[in-house]
Amino acid sequence: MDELLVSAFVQVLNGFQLGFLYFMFAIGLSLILGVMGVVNLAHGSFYMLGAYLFYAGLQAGIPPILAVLAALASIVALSAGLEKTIFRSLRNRSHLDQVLLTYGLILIANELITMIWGPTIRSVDVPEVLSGSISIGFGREYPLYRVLVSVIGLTVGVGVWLLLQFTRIGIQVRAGVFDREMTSALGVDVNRVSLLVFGFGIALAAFAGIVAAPILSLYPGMGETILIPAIMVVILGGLGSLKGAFVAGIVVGMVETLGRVTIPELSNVTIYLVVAAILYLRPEGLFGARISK
Amino acid sequence: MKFQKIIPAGVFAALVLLPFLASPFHMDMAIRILILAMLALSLDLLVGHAKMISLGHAAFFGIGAYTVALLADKAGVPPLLALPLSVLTAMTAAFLVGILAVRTRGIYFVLITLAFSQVFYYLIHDSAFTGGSDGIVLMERGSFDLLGLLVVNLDEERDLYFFVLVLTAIVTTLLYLLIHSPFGQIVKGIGLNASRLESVGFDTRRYALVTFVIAGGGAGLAGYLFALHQIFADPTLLSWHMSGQILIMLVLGGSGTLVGPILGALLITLLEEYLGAYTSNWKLILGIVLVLFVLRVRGGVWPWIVRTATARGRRDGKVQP
Amino acid sequence: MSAILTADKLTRRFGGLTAINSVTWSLKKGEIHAVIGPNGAGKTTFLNLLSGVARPNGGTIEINGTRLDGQSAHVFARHGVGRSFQRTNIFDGMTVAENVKTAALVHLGHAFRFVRPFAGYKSLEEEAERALSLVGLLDRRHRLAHTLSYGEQRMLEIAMVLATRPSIVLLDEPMAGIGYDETRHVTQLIAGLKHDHSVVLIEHDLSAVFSLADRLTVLVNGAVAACGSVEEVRADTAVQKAYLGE
Repeated sequence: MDELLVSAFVQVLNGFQLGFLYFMFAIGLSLILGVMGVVNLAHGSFYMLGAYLFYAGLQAGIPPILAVLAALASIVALSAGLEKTIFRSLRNRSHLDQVLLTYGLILIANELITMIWGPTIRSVDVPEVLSGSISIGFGREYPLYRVLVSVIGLTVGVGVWLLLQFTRIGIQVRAGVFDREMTSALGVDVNRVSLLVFGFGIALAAFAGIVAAPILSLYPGMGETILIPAIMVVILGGLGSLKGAFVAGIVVGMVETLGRVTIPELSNVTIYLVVAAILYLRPEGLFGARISK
Repeated sequence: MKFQKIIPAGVFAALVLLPFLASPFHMDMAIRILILAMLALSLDLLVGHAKMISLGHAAFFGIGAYTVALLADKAGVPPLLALPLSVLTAMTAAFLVGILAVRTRGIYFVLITLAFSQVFYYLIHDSAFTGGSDGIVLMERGSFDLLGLLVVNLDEERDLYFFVLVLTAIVTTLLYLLIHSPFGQIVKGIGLNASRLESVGFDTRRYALVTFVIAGGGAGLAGYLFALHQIFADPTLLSWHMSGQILIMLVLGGSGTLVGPILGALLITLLEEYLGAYTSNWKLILGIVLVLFVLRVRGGVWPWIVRTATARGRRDGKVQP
Repeated sequence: MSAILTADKLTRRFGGLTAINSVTWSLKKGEIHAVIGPNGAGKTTFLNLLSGVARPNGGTIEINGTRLDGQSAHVFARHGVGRSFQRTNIFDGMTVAENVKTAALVHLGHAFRFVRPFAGYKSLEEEAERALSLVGLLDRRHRLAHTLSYGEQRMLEIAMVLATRPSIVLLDEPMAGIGYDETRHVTQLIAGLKHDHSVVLIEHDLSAVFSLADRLTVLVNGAVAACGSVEEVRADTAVQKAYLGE
């Protein structure tokens, strides 16, 4: 009985860890999707890029912290360039155009990764200093790094909340700066806000990829594997809602993890059915939606 | 524009003659293109006319394919009998998804169609009953008696070709009638200004649902033919990458027209076939083309052809058929 | 004249803002009833409520004795409400004639007709011609809607509304942004509606309002500040101060 309890506890911890990972990834998606109104299917590609750049840095012998910073910096620079050239105009285009263009980006990203690192699965080791484990009772050990993922996720969440509450950009974003009617008013430099929000959202995706790298494996197309559940998180939590992304992220992570051990054949389907059920009752998601378009 | 009637008629004539003029390889490719054309046409009703961007259309394609494969494999149902059943299951699935999806707008609709196609994908991929990730193989296609005049043996490539050609022609004609009917007018109205339609007295949700189901049925038929042709069905048919491919075909060829999706299916197949032989990274090129296309080009290849060809004789404010 | 539409304690909130505050109001059959008020008074919201485009948070709406509050816009339309919008709301990609014919489709009951060509319906053609002649766009009927001038598009919108043969016509600033000649034309058009329709008119052009309206309602901050004949309202000193005397 105790064995069962501890095993269950371990799965719950895993659920939280996955949930926090989804949360980190989904915040950016929720911002870009919900606040900017841009369908960015390539969000997962930046997650993938972050993981691979981190991997490349480690392979080159760079110390982990620097590898993280280098990967993030490169991706932020890339996203700034992309925002100015592609995504800025995408804001005013139809959803079809957005879907197609970002789908094209997925194809490009996956092929580039395959061309540079090949199609085989890569893995990243947990950095030495974080590779310990903590005891959770009954003689069981739980990897320290996995706990760290949850802690990081929580920290990121708090950080984003602070940014949204107290910075000028954050207040503008919450006030609906991207809503069509408001754009003309108040002299806000929408393009600058767009650049910052987009860059920030992408950086979060890449960061999620870096954090996930030691736990999940790296392969071309890994971005899409997380993108679909993340879209569920965003729908469930309501577009543009930080609180929603948090709650929904944990829910999705938990359902997926616990489902995998209890009903493996239905585990993948379960979350989509849960989403369907909730959306049938509340078409705007758990925490209501701010639909810009 | 007269030439817009002549070219499709000419193309159809060429297609009828194709088996007698081209190699078996090309005929096989033509079958594939026709099936994809039917699939693209079915999606165009949603995307091109109703402006409902579905990212989950492949699910109904795959369901059509799996229906005929499963019925043959598990219940020994001859593939021909399974045709109406394939279409019916696809339409039922579309109904189930549609009921929820039409309650949503804009971005939500895109995402929800994606989500539900994933349900079907995983149901099929994770289940042993449907052959898991390997899929199901079709043993034989079967043959039938055409009005006592001749026997059509679908295991013969040429007979299969004409079977597919006739069905594609029928679907195209039905779509043409549909678009020009009052129902089609409502569909176009939904795409142009759904709120206006509501204010005039139409329950747009109901019409959107019917459109969604019809489109799903078309995809199911295409899936049926695909399984028949390839003699297998596997989960990749339901993947969202497949949904993406259909959208690409649509947009490249020109959505909102009848010729566009057909042309798009042709272009993508040719691209995959010939570019793919040249480099295994052809998807990189496709991605770049896609990005540039969306950024620079308005419409698709067929509208561009029409524009260029009628540049001289264009009169202001006149509608094109 | 009896009331064809009544609203009782109608309320509409947006978050913390109360846009329409417990409004009790009625529209008499065959009258032209103008609704005026300063910007932000809630006039468009009021029209949205009366046409089902917005759902009330409180209160009821009755049309010909049938409760309709909480229903969608298409239900209101089927009960005889026709609505023109402040921002021109037409089918850009269709021709002028197609725009009106599409609206006229409601007369067929339902549009689940898949085979017979839309272009072949004579009744729709006739209905469209009738509506287009009323607004003076008959000679433009083959043009694509988006090639029309702003004023012509406003007229097209009214034609679409009239093609559905509504018993209640809601007009949201039909004269906004159009020239002098067209204003006279629209004024005559609205005056001519009295025979077969009951009209609710939101307008800023007060001279047109005073010449057209049988009754006048002044809406301020989501509440009725005054309601009565044109003379009564014009004489109301409180209203004069709040709105008319600007």
